Amino acid sequence: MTAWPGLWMAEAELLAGYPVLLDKELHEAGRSKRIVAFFIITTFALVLIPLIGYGRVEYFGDGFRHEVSSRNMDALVGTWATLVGFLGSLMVIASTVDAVSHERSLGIIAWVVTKPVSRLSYLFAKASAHAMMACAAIVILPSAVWCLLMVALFREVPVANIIVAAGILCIEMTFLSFVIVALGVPLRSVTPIAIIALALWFLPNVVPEIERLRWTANVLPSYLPIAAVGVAIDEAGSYTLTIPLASVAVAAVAFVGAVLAFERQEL
Amino acid sequence: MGTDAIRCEGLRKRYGRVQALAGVDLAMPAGSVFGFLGPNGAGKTTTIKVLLGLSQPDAGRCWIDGVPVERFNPRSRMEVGYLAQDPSYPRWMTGREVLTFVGRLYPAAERPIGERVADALTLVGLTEAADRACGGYSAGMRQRLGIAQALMGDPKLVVLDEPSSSLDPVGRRDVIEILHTLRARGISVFYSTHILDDVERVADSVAIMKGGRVIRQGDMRALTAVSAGRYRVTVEAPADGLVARLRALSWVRDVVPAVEEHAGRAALFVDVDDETFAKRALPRAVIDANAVLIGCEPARFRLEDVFLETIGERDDGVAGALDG
Repeated sequence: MTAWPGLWMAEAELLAGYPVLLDKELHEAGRSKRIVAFFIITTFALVLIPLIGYGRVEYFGDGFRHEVSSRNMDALVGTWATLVGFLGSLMVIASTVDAVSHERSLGIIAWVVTKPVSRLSYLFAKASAHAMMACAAIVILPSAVWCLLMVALFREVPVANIIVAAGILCIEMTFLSFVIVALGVPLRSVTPIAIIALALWFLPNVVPEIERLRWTANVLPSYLPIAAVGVAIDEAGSYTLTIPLASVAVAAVAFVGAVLAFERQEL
Repeated sequence: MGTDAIRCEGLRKRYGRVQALAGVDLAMPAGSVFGFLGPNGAGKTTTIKVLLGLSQPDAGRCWIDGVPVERFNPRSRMEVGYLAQDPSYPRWMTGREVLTFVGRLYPAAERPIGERVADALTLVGLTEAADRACGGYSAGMRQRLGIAQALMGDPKLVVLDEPSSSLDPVGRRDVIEILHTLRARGISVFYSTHILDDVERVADSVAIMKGGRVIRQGDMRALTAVSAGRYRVTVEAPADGLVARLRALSWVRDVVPAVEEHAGRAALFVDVDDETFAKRALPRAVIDANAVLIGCEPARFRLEDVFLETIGERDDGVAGALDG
């Protein structure tokens, strides 16, 4: 009996059908009203930051573009990173939580994997499509609108820092997408997946014991928004590197585990 | 005949305390329509799941067209099309998009994808509805779309799990016609169903499962044939006194009432000593008994008779006749 499927499968067969499945997932996600709503909500919320700041933040200089203190600029940029980081995580959880269980209950997974595709392809296409859509609709496009408005209204916007911070926020969306899709393999209904995802994300914020542990501040994926804020306001410490790296590693381990379980799962 | 389309040897599968498959041995001739029958819980769906790699057997092996079914190997599913019992597709996709999506998963298929889509739509009669979202399809249209998508890889084998269960008589007739067409194209059809009439109309061979085992399989004509010297007589009901009148004839060995075919009709199995003599004498004897003769032919059991006898659900005398 085959004990370790990946060892003997040719590379092409390991990801058999992936491009077609990814195309279908992107097409499906693009039609999702949730994604459109999240894009609109995020963009609207982000646009308010520079508009309110333009009217209220203390500035100097006499041109149309305000020159603000570094402390105020940090507040504007930090608000952006925090808003995208925390609002975005809720949106990703909401949009991905039923990704696997819905298709499982309809029999669509069983239908797809009876074609010449690998189960890895199915899961990878699902997770990567959700990650791509979340990055685009929640981070990249709303942040681009926000950044253009910032540059239009303020001088000395730290665009380079914002781009790096947006990269960390994309890692956050990707981490959540892959981990939630992975949770969909052992868990068949939406409620436990949502509870675990929310606990994973927000437990450190509500359980002080977790936050007090010294190592958690450097590796816990829940702190990805804080790493993004750190980069955005140019207060980068080692944690701004270690948290994204640890998150990628955790997501990879969770996803590989899910794939191995999925290969053996009865459908 | 060459390689079997499907071959299973000693398939075993246990779910907790339930032995779903208890050593399934199965051989399906290539190019045939194969009826896969059994009562609920017999293990039909589990067998299909193993064949398609959806489930891993505890023991035993199976081959499709001579290629071992390996659960982790997509290549073993290249030559197989599958229609699930209750097919479901992304509701936002049109029928054409479903077929195109499935077709793209078979990059090695010889014909261009557009040709395969058009051919499959024509075969199942969905061309006009092809550009409607399949979320709005009726049960029959979904079933026909299911057959079409099963054909998108130009498979050598199509596995259909209850393709007619949710269809009206017209839909069932359409499915039967499609199966005839597939057979004419040389495609093997593995056809799991509860509807015995449909199997009788289209299958070349059948297997009957019970308790996780195939307890009977073979060519349809061989299974439904009976020993020489037996005739099936169909008359207008009621046939009062006919059985006694026929039994009184010196060349008649026995008369066994069969299942009533339709309202107003009755059927009898008549065992005779001299088949050649009976060929002429039996119709006359029936008429002489004042019965309205509808048919008199060498007996062939209906599949329902064979099925019920095989699974041990008959106690009206036909079981004995079958055994005889």
